[in-house]
Amino acid sequence: MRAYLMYQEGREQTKPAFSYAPDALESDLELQRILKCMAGDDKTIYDACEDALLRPMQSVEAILYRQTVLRDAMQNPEAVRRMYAIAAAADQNNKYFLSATRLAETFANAVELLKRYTKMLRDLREVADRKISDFTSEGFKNLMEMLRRELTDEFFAQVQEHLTEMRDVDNILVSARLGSNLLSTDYTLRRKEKGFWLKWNLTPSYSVNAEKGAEELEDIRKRRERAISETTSVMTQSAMFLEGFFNMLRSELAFYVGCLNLTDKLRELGMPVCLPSLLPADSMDRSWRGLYDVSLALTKGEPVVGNDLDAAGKCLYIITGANQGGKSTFLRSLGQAQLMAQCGMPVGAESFTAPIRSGVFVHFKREEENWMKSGRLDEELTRMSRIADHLGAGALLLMNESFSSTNEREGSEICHQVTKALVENGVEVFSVTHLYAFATRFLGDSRTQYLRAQRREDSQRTFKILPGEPLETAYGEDLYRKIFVEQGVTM
Amino acid sequence: MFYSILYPRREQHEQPRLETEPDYFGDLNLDQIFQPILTEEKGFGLKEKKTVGLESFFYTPLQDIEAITYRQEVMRELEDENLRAVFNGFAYTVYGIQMFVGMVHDALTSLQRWRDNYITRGQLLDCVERYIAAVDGLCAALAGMNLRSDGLKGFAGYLKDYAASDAFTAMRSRAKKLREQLSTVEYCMLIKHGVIRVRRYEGQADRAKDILAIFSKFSQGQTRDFKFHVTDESRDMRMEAIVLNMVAAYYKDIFADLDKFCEKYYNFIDETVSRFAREIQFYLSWLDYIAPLRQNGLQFCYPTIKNDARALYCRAGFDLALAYRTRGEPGAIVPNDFELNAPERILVITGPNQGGKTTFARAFGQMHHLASLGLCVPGREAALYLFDTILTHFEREEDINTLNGKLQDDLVRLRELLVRATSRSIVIINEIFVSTTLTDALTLGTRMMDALAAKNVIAVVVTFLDELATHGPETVSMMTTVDPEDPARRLFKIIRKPPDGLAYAMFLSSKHGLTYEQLSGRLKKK
Repeated sequence: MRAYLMYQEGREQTKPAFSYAPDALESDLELQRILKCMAGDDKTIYDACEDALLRPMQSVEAILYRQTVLRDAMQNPEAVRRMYAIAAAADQNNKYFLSATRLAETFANAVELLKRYTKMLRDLREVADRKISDFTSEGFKNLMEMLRRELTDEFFAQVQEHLTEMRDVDNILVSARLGSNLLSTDYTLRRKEKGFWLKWNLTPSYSVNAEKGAEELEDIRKRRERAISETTSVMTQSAMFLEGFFNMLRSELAFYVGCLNLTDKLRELGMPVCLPSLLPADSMDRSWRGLYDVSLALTKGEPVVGNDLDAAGKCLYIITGANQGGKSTFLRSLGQAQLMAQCGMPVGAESFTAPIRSGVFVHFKREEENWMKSGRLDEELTRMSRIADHLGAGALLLMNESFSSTNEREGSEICHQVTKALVENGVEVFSVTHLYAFATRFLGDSRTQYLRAQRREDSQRTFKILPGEPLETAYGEDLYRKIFVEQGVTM
Repeated sequence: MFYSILYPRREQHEQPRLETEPDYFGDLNLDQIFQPILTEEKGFGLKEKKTVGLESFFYTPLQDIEAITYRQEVMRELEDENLRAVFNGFAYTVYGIQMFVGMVHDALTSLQRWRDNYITRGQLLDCVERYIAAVDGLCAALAGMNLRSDGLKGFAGYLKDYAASDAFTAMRSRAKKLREQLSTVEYCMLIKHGVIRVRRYEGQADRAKDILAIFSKFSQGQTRDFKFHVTDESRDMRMEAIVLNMVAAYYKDIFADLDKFCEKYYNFIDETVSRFAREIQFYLSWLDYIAPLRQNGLQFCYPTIKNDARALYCRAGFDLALAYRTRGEPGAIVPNDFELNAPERILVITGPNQGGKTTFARAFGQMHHLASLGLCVPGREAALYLFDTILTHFEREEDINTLNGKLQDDLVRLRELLVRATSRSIVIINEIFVSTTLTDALTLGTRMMDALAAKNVIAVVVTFLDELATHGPETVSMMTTVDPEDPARRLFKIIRKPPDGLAYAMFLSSKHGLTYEQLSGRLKKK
């Protein structure tokens, strides 16, 4: 019994590859905040969404399948959340401790455990009965049908019969044979046929003296343990199967519950959310309205600035402009949207159209790591070289102030050579840079789109990123005035 | 009268000390340097703070040349391995006794009444005996030695008087007598179901011996010796105490003596001895820490501490955190010199990246802090400045939480630094203004140099801006050097030299296969 919500049946074996350098992606693009919002305290949702986000799908068809299921979930949020809650309740079952050391207790626990799982299955059937006609997507329709087909009334009746018979571990029927030295062996727990008490009532019996017969009582206890061990194992095994089923269902639903949570939160903040359109991998066109940094919006808990873009036939985007002008934010918003779009998630924008990319890579400026043996430029080059080992034509690379750990002249030269080689070999590059010499090297190139952080006449920043070529003017003076002169400190 | 091995006078010891790391510790990797001294491995990669509590002494720079000299002399004397072994053993023993006494005191004052019992009292007697042995042992060891430093001489004199005092002598003889009495006690237990009964031992025969005697004649010469192994550790202390209590009823006098002894010697450790045992570890742990580095040829020296900055220098200094991490392997560490002769006050370090600039700056700060603690410092010889504080500015990662730009953060931190700096301060600035344009960096960098010169601080500035190295008469330009045969190879030697504007970034780039031609080739192969 399987649900196919994340991948079409038959496709689940060939998951898309996991992203290169996932830790860097998560921290540079601030993905944890998004995942945290999707998951709340639920680790299953976090893991499922993280896994989806870091496995960008490579076909429009696969992305559409998930988008269709997601749309269905958005139409039926209550039923989806209800099924998730039912499956998630499996967590509470681990309080039923199963171990070989106290077998009688374990036996009773296993019975209780199976009872609980049966109740969960009944709840699922109830949702399926009630909601089957509301769902329209292939994924959810198949799931509902499967639940109704497998969880029949007859199934529940059989389970109930067993559980009722095993209520009392002190009242059991067991068969055994004789082994070496005529010692009893092969203990097998038996069911009690109807009316068995009449037959057993008059057979000869021996009573243990509870006052003096501690050893005798101990012997009875051991016999009982031998009798129930096989049954306890089987019940434990069954419980494990059930746990696996609910975990599967939970992780299939988790991604969609996460999407519902995120969408709810963003709408509450008054931020737009859309299902993106994906173009084939060979496209060089991008277009969006109101694209914003989802994690920034979540951090601030208020609306943030979005950006628009229409670009056709571009493979290099160079973003320049004032410090604190929203450049890194812009880069993050794009990286997030690309990954979210390619896993079938909604995107933080009014609309978002982008080509499928073979992978998203980040090369962000890093703090000097505290191993002193390697310098910062060397660290940047090492990281870039590793990225070059993993990316190829069709990849998207986001560079944030790359090669700024050396002086501007050298940094520009290295950055220019690297960037030129990348775009010429089919890699799409977004590069935020302060390296003026580098930035101006591509002026006049028709495949390069220049963008600039807007700055109004009064020195105020709007955090808008607009088409525009690099300006040489520096903004350090602004900050110097604000931080030193206006505070009455001389420097 | 001797008070502390770390300060010549009691008042100095009572001055408040820093209980947390000074701000510059992280930037200068001083936290890494002291970590092995202040923490210990707890297995599974876990580290835990040592309970000896020396942190504040390693955190607090001394402001007084006399106190620094007092420590330098003690440490010089402790360079003698035999002497060090004597004090090491003593400190370790006293520390162990104190830990144990702490537990005994806990038990004797516990709200769980049963823990105040004869077992616990017996433990206290044990501690007293070990303490007496340690004091007597150290006295004997020091008797034949000719100590030179004020600190150690002072302590040896104190200890001799203490060990001969009436109070100590009385304690010694009472402990001895009590132990003799306790060794005469002998008793029997009868255990039935959950019942144990106790009596004096009355000459009953050894059952195991008797049984063995009865059955040994059946032996066929088997050599296998069969025995169940039962460990002592799972012993129930509560039951143990109950039994001993029953025993005590038969030996009332002896146990009354034990009670009296414990009352009298509840606190038996002399405060000055205890303080010494703790504080001597300041020196011992440092000498232990640098020992493997010295074995590999790295030099340490006792610097002259200068009240003025007219002539400061260090020969063959090095970054101790780096040295410790590379275990001082020959060739791993390149020692460097510096010299500041008035009016020079600021070292500006430029040159190719990865040439050891940051390491040099850290080493400069480290040796000053270490010298101010009275420790021996990396280097062959040195004259260092008696500073009031060290102020550092190292790069930090942008944090979305602050919603603050990098440049703004740089400037705000620089302002705080300049506000705090005095002419007695040491300032270390590592790569500032890298996130802005060249024009911005130059304007702001020059202003910063003006401010540092005006404040009259002693400073090290690591920068890619060659212009800062020729700022004025107070600046000394130093550069990293490269191998002329192979410019991509760093020598990690930093020398006085005007900036040459040449850096070697492209060599590095080619080393990583990232020039245009190399990278194009790599991508085409896919």
